[in-house]
Parts: sequence; structure tokens; C-alpha cells
Amino acid sequence: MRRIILGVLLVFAAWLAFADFESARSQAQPWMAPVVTPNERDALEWVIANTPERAVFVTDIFGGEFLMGNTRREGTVGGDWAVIPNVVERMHDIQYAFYQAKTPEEAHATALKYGAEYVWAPDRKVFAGYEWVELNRSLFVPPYFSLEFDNGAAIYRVNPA
Amino acid sequence: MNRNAPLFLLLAAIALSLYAHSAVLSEFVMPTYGNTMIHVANARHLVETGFYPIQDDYSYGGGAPNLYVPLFRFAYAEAVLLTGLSFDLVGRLFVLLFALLLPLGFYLLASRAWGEWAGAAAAFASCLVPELLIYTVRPLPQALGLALLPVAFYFLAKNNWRAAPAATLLVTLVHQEAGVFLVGCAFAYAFARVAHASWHAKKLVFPAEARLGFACWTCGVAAYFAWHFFVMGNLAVFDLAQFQHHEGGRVTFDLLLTKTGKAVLLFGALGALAAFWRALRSRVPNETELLLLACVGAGLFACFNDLVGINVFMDRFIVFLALPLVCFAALGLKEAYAFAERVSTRVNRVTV
Repeated sequence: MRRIILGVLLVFAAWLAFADFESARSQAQPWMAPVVTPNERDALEWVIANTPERAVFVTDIFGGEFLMGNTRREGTVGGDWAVIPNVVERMHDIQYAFYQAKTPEEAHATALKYGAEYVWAPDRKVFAGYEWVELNRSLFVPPYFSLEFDNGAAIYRVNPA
Repeated sequence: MNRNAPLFLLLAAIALSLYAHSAVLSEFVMPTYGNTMIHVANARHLVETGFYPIQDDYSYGGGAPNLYVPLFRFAYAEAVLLTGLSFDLVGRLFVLLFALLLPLGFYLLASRAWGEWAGAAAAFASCLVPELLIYTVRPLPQALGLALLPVAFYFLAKNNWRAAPAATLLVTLVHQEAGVFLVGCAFAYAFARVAHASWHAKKLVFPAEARLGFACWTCGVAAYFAWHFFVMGNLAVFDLAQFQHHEGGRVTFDLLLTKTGKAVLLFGALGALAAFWRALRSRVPNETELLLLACVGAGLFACFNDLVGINVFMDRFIVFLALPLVCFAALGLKEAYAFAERVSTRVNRVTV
């Protein structure tokens, strides 16, 4: 009887433990998604070779952080927002007045507002703090932007006003 | 029973932890969720220029003060310099290091409280908490903070006047929230120790353990505010965006269960209740047990800080509340086992 009771307890604990371990692994898995694409990784070489350190790119959050970590360039959004002035307005602008701008002029004006010299245009959806959206490359046209690099992920220069 | 059995179980727990954390090797780049790359940027800056960008962070277009506490980034840069490996690989290796440290830290802490078997059980339990895996499977300061916290608690419980304040300083400068949790635990422990001793002595008493708790609280708070003042030139902590925009979500029971896991929550609650009952009855408390109870109190306060109007990062503290619960899960299992033994003995007597 003793063995049965202790066995039931241990089996119950082991069953819970196994279920939790599997739950832990499946809950952690989505956090492993890199978000950025292999083409973005390959574009970093061009960034390092052709742009100055700390050059500012219009990016979404993941693109901005990927650039800063790998090349010491900066993104318009991404990073630690603790002490950034007007950070919510900045995220709102990049989301709605750049990636979801109505016209190339509006996107260009937003890029200039935040001192961006380049646009990071990845081959995936982008997220600047509010929602995931498809990248609209028809915004990045002359005379506002000029294409500098394209391997699926593209880099545009922001032309002066 | 083999005397080495707990040690074998610990090794099995480490293997399980390494297996779970090996997910960090699965993609073509290290994980990017959770702002991992801002730490890489600062470490890279340090490696490539020899300077740390204190007044010119990379975040949000650059130019802002770099407020985030720096030790994780220093360690990252140091590891790259010493090994010559890429930042990406070092980040992944850090995660495997956390996978090793976590079960070892819990083993150390729970062993001190209830012996080696409980230590081995806590090491296993540390592999079962989804939120703990979510945060430690990425190269984040939080992960290092979480791996160091059980060790810091161990030194505090051991009443070690050198190591405990040093560990508090270290944790505070590795990760802010881990530091906040640690100083909260140290303060709650000191308070509980004074209350316990005074209750039994029928007069106000300040035991040495309580003094160490207050000392650790002072060290952690002073270290953070010194860093904040050094970078910002002010002490306006509540002006940070996280406070202004109330970052973080409410904690519900469902969320707590999902993020902590059924085993750790059930056996952890059982163990915590058993420990609380013992602390009430005993004149000489088990110091580690009392400290872990204080940690549960601090964790609950942090998880439900919206109820007192602070309203920031509530759900982020679930993982910190899970730390003492992992240890208490070992005690809960031990108590459930003892209870089952008593029941079986009675059943045997009745049937005989």
C-alpha cells in the first residue's frame, strides 16, 4: 500500500512536470524567431562598406536593432525607449507617416524629420510599434529616394529636400 | 539509497536545462526579440572603439543618454575580446552558460534550506517554468540577473557580509528589474526577520540577518541611483517612459498559471504554506526558508503593484516570483511525500 500511495504521488508530479516542460519549450519557441531575414543579414556587408558609422536609417524596431547590433548604425525606432524625448510620437510617425504614408512626399518628409540618410526596406512585414504591415516599396521612388542596394531586402538613400 | 543520487539528479537537471536552452542554436541569427541587439550594439561599440557610449546611446536615432545598467554589456564585450568569437556566437554561448547556472543556483539555495534531495528537486523544477525559459533562452541582461539571483539569495541566507552586498551590487548593475526584485526581497527579509525575532522575544530586536538584509537593500538602491545620477544628472526615476506609459500588463491567475507552470505553482504554493506555518511556530527560523518567504511576498507585491497605484511591469515580475516558488516546489514535493508516507502507514495499521 505504501508503495502504491508514494508511486501515485510521484507519477502525478512527473506527469505535471512533463506537461510543464513541454509547455515551457513550446512557449519559448516563438521567442526564437529571428524576425529579420537572411537577405537582411547579407545586406549588412553593404551597409558596413558604404555608409558611415552611426548613419541613421529609417527602420522598424527589429531592423533598427539588427543594424545597431551588427553595424553600429542607427535606426529611427528600436532600442531602449526609457529616456527618448517624444518617443511615442516618433513611433507613431514611423508607423503611420512613413511605412503607411499616403504618398512618397509624406514618407520623405518623415525621414528628413528624424534625420535619416537611408531607408532599410526588408523583405518581410515591418513593425514600428503599433502594427505589423507589408512594406510598400512604391513609396520609395525618385526624386525622394534612390535605390542603393537590393537583394530582396533593399536600401534606399533619402535624397535631400 | 545511493549517497550520490542527488548529485546524479542534479546532473540530469543540468542536462535537461541545456536541452531546453539549446533552442538558442536553432536559427541563423541569435534571438532578436526582447531588444537583445541593443546590448550587442553597446558591447560592439566598446570592443571596436575602446569606449562605452554613456551619453550617446544607439536607441531611437541615437544621441540620448545610455541609462541601461552596463555590466551585462561589459561582460559581453569582455567575452568577445577574450575569445575572439563573433558577437552572435558569444550571445548563444551566454545562453548555454545561463542554462548551466540556473539549476546549480537553485540546487545551492534549496540544498541549504532542506538538504541535497530538495536541492536536486529544485534544480529540476527550474526547468519547468515557461517564463523562466522564455527569458533565459535569449542573451539578455535579465537572463544573467535571473541566473545570479539564486546565488545572491544563497549568500544572503548564509549571512555572508562580503558576498551578499557584492552580489546585490552585481545584480543591480546587470539588470534593473532583477535589482529591484533583489532589494525588495532583502528589505522584506530584514523586515520579516525583525518581526519574527521581536514577536518571540516580546520586544524590538534587530538580529544580524536583518541588518544584512537592510545593508543589501541600501547597497542595491544606492548603486542604482548612483548610476542613474551619473548618466542622467538627476534622480527622476519616475520620469522614465516605462513609468509614464505604464509598460506591462495585469497579472491574472490564468496568466500566472501559464507562465509559472502547474507543477511549480501547485507544489510551490504547498511548500510556501508549509514554510509559513513553520515560521509562525518556530522560535529559531530556518533562515533560507524565511528569506524565500520574503521573496514570495516581494514577488507578489511586484506582480500586483497596480493595486497600489504603481502600475508598471506587473507581468514582467512573474518570472521573479517564480524563483522562490521553484525552491518551495521542492519543499512542497517533500512535504507531500511525507504526508503520503504518513497516510500509507495509517492505512497499513488499519489493514493489519
